[in-house]
Amino acid sequence: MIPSILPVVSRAEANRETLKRDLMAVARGDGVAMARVYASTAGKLNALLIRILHDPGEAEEVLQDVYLTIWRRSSTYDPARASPITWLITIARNRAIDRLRLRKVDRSAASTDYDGDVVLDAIEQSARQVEEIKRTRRLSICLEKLDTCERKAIHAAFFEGLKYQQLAEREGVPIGTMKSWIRRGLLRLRRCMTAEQDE
Amino acid sequence: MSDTGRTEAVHDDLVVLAGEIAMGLIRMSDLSPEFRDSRELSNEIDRWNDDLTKLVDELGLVEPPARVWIALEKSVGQRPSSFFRSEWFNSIVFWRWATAAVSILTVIILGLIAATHSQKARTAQETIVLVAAILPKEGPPLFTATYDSGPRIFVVIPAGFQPDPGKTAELWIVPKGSDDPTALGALDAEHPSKISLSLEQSNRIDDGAALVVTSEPVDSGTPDQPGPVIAHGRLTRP
Repeated sequence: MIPSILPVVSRAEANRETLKRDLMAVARGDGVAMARVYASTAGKLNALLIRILHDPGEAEEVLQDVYLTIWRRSSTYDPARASPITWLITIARNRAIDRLRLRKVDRSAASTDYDGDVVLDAIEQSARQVEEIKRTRRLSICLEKLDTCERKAIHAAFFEGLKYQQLAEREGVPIGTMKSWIRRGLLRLRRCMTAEQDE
Repeated sequence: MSDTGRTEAVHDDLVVLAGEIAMGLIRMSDLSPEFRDSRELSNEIDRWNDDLTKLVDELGLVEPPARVWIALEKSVGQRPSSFFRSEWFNSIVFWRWATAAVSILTVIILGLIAATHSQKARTAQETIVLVAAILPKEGPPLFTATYDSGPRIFVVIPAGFQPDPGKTAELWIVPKGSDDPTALGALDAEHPSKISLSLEQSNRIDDGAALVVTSEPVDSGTPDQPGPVIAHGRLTRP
């Protein structure tokens, strides 16, 4: 009998539970589980590091450091608090932002343009990821509904780790204005995402 | 302001504060102990972390070069899968010889394996999940595989695999203690492949079985003999 080969409905669905188990196995020193964690997540984490650092070479260094951290600290992962990919992304983002702060990069040169087309492309390309895509779409739709200044500020804070003072200086606005943009943006984002979820 | 309005305002403040913490705009250590210990705040931070990581989906995948994995192995001080690596595994000559040599014995072996596993199936209905990292001779894994014995399905996920022009990747299973590879199907280089196995094929899969990926001409159908070995791994319980 010739085996049938079918597209998988959800890569995330197929991966999530395995990734969770693998992280627990890594905590017990399982090197093969570590290889699986790396294989299934390195592309995503590397893309994030390149986006934050704007330097593929430096991203490689940080990526290696991120996986060393995963190897050594996976016992601290709590499945009840976060999905495995959220935990991994949080580690990678924090490491990249630490690196940014260390090298005191000229932040004014960093782009914070929000490219809606990229979001839509990503959505279309990952059509298999049904549940994941709903959440991504909700976030994209809700981000689009924010004022441009709010959206840019949230993007810059997330991808570049800038603080209120730095964000305000870069945009040339008082810090109070920047705080208002972000706080209003966050609240509108949460309300919009909750409403979209309920629909 | 009514009690309801006040409650909503407090909740909104909590949502915003959690968002600011999740984005790193405010540090937890800057908060008063009553906030730091708040379960509600902690839950909201987790929710924001989960939502904001969706921003990363915009970026797609950028597979890192193999040197990152190699450096990682050196730092960790071990080669995670070295225990199943050996020279003969990478020998095309071996594979071709082995396939021909054992062809006569295949029917007998398959019969024995099928009989053994049918017995097992009757006596134990447990569903097992096996996983494998499929690695090349050097560098990071090219695929990860998960097998669920319940529906008899393999899910093989590519991780930076680039086939040569005109070539595709074929997955083979080699039972533990056997030299007899069985083709399971071609693998997609871009997307996860889901491979449904027949009962006979599933009986060949157990803890310790090897998965081998070979390079085969595109559109050649199910190969009789394995082509060059690209990567391999061993199925284990997670």
